[in-house]
Amino acid sequence: MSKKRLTARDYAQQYREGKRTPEDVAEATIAAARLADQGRRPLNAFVLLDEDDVRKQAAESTRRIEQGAPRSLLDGVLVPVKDEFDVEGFPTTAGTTFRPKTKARFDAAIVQRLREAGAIIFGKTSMHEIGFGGTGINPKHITARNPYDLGRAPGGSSSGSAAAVASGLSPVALGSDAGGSVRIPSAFCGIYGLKPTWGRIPTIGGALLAWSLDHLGPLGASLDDLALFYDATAGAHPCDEDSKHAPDPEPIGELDPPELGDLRIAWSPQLGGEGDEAPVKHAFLNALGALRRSGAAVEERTIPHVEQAQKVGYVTMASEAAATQRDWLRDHRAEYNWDTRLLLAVGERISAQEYLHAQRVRTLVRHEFTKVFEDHDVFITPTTGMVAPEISDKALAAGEVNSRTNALVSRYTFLGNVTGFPAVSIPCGVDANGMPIGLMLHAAPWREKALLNAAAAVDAVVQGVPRAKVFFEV
Amino acid sequence: MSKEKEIKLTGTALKALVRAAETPVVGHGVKKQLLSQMGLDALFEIDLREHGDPPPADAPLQPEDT
Repeated sequence: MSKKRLTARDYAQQYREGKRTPEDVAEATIAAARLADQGRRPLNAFVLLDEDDVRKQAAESTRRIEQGAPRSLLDGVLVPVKDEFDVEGFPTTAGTTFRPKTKARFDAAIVQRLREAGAIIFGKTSMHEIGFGGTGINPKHITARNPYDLGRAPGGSSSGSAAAVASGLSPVALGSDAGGSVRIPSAFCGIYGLKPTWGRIPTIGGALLAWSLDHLGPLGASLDDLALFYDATAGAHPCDEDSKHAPDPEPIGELDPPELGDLRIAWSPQLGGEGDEAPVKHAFLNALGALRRSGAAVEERTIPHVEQAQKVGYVTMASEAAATQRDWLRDHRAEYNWDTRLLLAVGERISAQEYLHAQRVRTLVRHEFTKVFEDHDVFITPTTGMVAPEISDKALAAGEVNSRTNALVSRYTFLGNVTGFPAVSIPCGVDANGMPIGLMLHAAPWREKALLNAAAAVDAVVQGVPRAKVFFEV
Repeated sequence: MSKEKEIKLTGTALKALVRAAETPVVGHGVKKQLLSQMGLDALFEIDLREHGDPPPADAPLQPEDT
């Protein structure tokens, strides 16, 4: 378990006990966010932070709590939003320099649900351009930095959200995940990240990258934060095609981890392993050992075709991204980052046959992965095959295509996107330089409650992480 | 099957590759080479007749039966 950071529940308790108010916390966090961006290597978690708007929301929340009428445990909790989602009154850049600066007329559905829960929308966070990358390095726009080492990438594409949570500016933030973009930065930044089942959280009002891969999810200081966020936001939305037929979510409430002796865990040597950085391999094996010593049944499992998941993900993402960007490319091709342009150029040239072939292999992957959960509660892998890479001057200046980084960051995460099954990343130790390593659990579709409870059991026995070097106690 | 080859490009080399990738005819060759270097030949070489001729995956999940 990781060294405790303040969670949403901690803030809620402080508010109820009258020790603090949302106004105090908002003011302290605004000051901390300003401080974070001073210096030679600013944290750059935010694209936009309207301090007056935050103060207004905080004042309203303070009044509700004083009147004994908080809307939920999230009332008064600061929640940054990845700048891929509309927040009424503010533009949405999706990490680009060229999207119109027109202010959104309506909140995205998820933002609306957060407001209904009383959460304070705390700015818009930086991201990898259009979501098409796993580092967060965005030369033409804003590149967030890793609070564990400001010379390193926070991961992407929900980079700013991860930086905000890991540095203590908020206990939970919104991200999105089409190939690992919640889980990768969670792993790199030593925090927790949930990609729920596809269709569980409505996506309308988001500038998504790849329609069949994209999921919305939280990055949090704890599993409890993920659970609170999920309970406030999950569920069908009548205007959202992808969520409209989803089964009703089972509320998670307080986490209730099972006994480890009752947990059946599968893992597969077919996925990654070879090629992973040594600290990741060691951390993963240490985690398996700790689980076995604690009584969990940890079984090696062969899963036919599972090694194709990342390849299916690459083809699907490139092709769908080229489709979502088609009209933008016509008018703004030269304004994208060079690395994004390369990936989009490849995507534009993937044929219908190649795309459909990948979707047929996707059926095989999903079919075989489903069988794992007939005999097991969770499937476990590292979250990424590497720790956070350094931000080189060259990459920051003009972008970089690095196939080793691309392969290692998403070698485990694409499985959750191509199948749509829920997955959560938890911290499981650090390397010799103090850089966090992530452990990921998957569960059967629609089983987010079981997944997070199982993750809580696992979290209790695996190695935690220290707080980030750049950390603000607000 | 092509072996995965590491690609690391930035600056002028990256820009040159992007310009080639965006060119009408040459671009297809660039795409083919990049996908091969990423190990994607293995995906496209799968003969799906040997695996039950699956249809393309639909929207990722169907709802539970109620």
